[in-house]
Amino acid sequence: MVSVEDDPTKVDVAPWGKWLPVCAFEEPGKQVPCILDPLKGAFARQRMPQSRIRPENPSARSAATLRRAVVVLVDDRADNLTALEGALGNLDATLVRARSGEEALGRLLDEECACILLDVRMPGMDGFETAGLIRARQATRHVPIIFVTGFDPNREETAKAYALGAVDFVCKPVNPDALRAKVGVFVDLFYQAREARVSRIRYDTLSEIAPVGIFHTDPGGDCLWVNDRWCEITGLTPEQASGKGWAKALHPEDRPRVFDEWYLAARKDEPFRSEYRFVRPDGRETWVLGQAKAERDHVGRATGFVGTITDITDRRQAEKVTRDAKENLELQVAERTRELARSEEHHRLILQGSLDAVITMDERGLISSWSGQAEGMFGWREAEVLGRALEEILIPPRYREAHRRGMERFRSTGEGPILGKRVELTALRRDGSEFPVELSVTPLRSEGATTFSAFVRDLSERHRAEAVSERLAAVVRSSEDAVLTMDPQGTITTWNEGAERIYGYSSRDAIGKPVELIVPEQLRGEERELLAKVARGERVESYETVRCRKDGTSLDVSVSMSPLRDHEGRIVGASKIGRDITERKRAQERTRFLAHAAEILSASLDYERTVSQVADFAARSPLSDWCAVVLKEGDSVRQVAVAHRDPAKVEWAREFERRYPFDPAREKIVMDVVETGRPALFAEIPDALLRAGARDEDHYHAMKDAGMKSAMVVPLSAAGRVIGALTLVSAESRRTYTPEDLSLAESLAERAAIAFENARLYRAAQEDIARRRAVEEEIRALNVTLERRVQERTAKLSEALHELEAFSYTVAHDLRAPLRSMAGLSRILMEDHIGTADAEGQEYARRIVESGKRMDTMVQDLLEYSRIAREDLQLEDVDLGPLIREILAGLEADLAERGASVTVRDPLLVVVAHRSTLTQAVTNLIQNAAKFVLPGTRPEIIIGTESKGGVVVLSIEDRGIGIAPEHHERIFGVFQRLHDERAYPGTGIGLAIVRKAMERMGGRAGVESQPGKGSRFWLEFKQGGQG
Amino acid sequence: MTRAKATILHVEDDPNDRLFVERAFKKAGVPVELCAVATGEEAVNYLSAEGPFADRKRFPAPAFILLDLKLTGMSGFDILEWARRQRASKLLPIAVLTSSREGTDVKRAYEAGATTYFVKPADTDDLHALIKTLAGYWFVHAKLPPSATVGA
Repeated sequence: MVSVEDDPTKVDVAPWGKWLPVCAFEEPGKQVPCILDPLKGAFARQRMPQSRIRPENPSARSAATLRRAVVVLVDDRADNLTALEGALGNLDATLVRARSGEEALGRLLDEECACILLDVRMPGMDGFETAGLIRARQATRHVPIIFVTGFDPNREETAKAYALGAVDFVCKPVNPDALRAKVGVFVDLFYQAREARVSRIRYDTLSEIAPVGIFHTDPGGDCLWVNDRWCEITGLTPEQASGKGWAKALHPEDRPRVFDEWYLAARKDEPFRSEYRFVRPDGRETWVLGQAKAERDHVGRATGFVGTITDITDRRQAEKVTRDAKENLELQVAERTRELARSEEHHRLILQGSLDAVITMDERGLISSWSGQAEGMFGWREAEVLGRALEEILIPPRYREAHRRGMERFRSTGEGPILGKRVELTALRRDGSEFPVELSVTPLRSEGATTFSAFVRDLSERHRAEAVSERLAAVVRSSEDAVLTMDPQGTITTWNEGAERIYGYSSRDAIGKPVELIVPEQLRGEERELLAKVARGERVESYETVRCRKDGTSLDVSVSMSPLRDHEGRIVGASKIGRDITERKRAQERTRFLAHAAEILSASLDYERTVSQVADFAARSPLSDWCAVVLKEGDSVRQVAVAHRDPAKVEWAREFERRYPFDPAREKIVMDVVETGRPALFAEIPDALLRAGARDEDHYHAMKDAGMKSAMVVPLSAAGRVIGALTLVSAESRRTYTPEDLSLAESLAERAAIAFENARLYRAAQEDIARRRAVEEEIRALNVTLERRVQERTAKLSEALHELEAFSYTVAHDLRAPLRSMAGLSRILMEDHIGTADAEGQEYARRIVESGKRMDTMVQDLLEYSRIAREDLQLEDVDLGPLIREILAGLEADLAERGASVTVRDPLLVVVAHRSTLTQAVTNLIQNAAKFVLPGTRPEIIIGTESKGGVVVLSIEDRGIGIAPEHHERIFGVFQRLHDERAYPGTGIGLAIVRKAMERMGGRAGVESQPGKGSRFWLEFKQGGQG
Repeated sequence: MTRAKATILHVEDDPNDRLFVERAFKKAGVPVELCAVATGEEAVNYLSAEGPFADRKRFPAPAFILLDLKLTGMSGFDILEWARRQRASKLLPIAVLTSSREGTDVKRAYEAGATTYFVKPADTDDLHALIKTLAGYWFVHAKLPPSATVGA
């Protein structure tokens, strides 16, 4: 609620304010008329008489209005009654006598009775009967009955009494205190019941007449009872309201809120209080203020709610009106306030805007007033300057004289040079520094005296800004780049010197013209796009494009554009900076040219190709139209390539070549370059040169027709030697060669020379390689032939070997069979046909057999020899120790028979041999050693090994007959015998086999012997056990 | 009880060798019948009881074969292999008696199924000793497998 001022007379009403009569609310339900003071935002209460309300105190019992409780005493004997009266005297009740049951009944009908004391024994109706009747009557049936009796009631009577509804049975003599207490209880009960009844009635009555709706609900919120007014307010009938019917009638928007608040209030045990709407059955809305409180029982449990609803529709309506009015007023207030603020601001600005110092000076030239601004501007405080001479304070010394003179003039003529005008001067600060000011001085005449009033403005800022601006302009002016500005339509608004220089248009020519002036036709679309971009606020950075000059030539430029904005940030045009990048582009081109050349040069190592490709490249490039390469070859110089971008011309050139071949003697210029290594440049090919170079008239004219304009000849040098020259000629392109072009040509030549050299070296290397390859080929071919021959020979040998094998095989069988037959048949002859008496016959037959045997032996020996000679022996390590022992064991019988003694010199070494063949050879030797002894002599054999420089020598010594030196070789031959068969039998193949065997095993065999001194046969083997 | 005489089939192309073996068997004094054929084909016919040898009364089925390797026509190896494929002669003891002492021949003969391999001795006495041993081994001490005739 708004605060309420009690005293309306204290209200401050603004001159333009209004008194607005309105209703404010001090409390709910209490409307208080007020006035509204918009300025203060307060309500001031109008004085109204207060109504007096008499508070009610419901707890006090009003004795005047309510009757006392009645206690009826019934006894036929008066003395008893008296006694009872005495006992019950000071009860807050009226005691009524009755002498009989009938009288008692009568009394009860008249009065409301709190309690009745009945005597049991009475004549006529006794107590029980009376009680029965009391109980029978509706009006009295609840009256508490106490029987009073003089005699001891027996159980039967007591029971009867209680059955009749008595509450107690008292015996005479009565105990007064006890009786009083009992009756007192019933009296109190009576009063309480009556009170409750009265309350109830009052309540109901109130409810009837109350202007508010009253309702009761159970603890769960179900409506139990509503009064009529409630129904009027809500438009519901009690039936409709019962249960949760009332809730259904709540406005849907308010219903949740109501429940929440009700629930919250119940939980906090606070009264519920809320404003909400009921929706009447006819749809109208009624605003109510609802209040409710929980009814609690004696332990505090909520037994239900009781509450009221007050129709506040009218009030709310009024509230709305007020609110609207208030809002309206507030708006107005805000508006006024704004206006005021604006004007205040305005004033302030004005005041401020006389940031101007305001100074007044009197006729004498003394300062008479000094504004706050002046203090800040000059650094003097008012107190310090008042009354002092202005010129001393403000004017730099050098101008003081002028000031004085001006003052003089004014004094005499009434005019002053600076009066009434705005002038710029230099002023002096307190600290001695000077600064520019703008001055406006007005003379004020009053009362015969003149005061000069001056407004002084500090121009330092402005001057600074101007200076900066001037500097910037100077920068733009002096910039080498073209700097120009345009309006949003693209019309040129400024044009600097750089632009004049670069584009050729003067600023007069350019300003006001569209920027298309300098944009080539085909790029106009692009320019428009750029402008659009800038108009959107974007920048264009370093955009490379082409512009055209006044003279029509085009140039490459790099352009940057940015939007021009006003102080509010709106785009009002564009600025453009253009830089001539022709030179840069040219440099780029040169680099590209050389890079491309390098590519071509490195593409191939083929000599011819490289040269012609380079010439081609140069001829097709912008650098030249013709390109020719001459290279040293041995002692002479040869034109290796000539190129032109037009193949037809090349053909012409070749033809030309053929007719006038390159003649070093005549090509003086080229040869000069080749010899000296110095380049030659002819920006213009003079006619004289053509003449000098021409062999004949035709030649001259041909060269002239070719239209050669400019030429360069640069040396090709690699590794310090000049290997040739590169000639570049411009013709159709009309290009004039500059020293720059020459340096480019030299760069090209440098690279080309290296490439040519490399190609040449490569070719030489290739040739070497080719030569070497040819030789290798030859060798390979030879090897193949050799291989084949060897194979053939081996095949033949193999064949021969096989034949030999087959031959041996055949021999083995076929030669021996007849021998066998011979021997066998001779035996048959001997045994069966030649008589034992025929000694000769027997002898001859025996000899046949012997011969046969002998021949068979020889054949076998031969077979053996040939086998050893041809068989492939697998060599292995053979330990001689065990081998010799094996052999000796095998020959044991024979050796024993001859009585031979064998000594083995251990340890015997390991040799590389073929085991069985070795066995055979050694067996032979041992047998020989045992055989070739003088008859009757016991053979002595000594076997040993020794190692000699990688070979092992096995020696078999004997003390036999020995062998003469001249026979040492012979004995190793086939079938070579030195002795008679009869003396020493044997075919003579043994040693041949030994030697052959040794040969096959990669060793040697030999003998040391002297006749009669025994022999030492040695076998030389590769040392075994070497791994 | 006298045992029926066993028949030995001697396959040998050299008539002298045939003679020598015959004499040797006589000298050995072993109760055997020696039946000699000169070629491999004849041997096959004999064993098959075909051709001129169809009459088993005259040409009893052999209980033993003495086989030379070096024959004209079918070689001893061929006969060996053939004989080992026939039911009749699969189990027969076949002794090779040949002049070759080549290891390869020895190996091959045994692989082909020879029971024993003998090299023909050059010396007559050696031959006698061989035959005597052989005869004694096979026809006195050993039990021969039952002989059957191919086709009988």
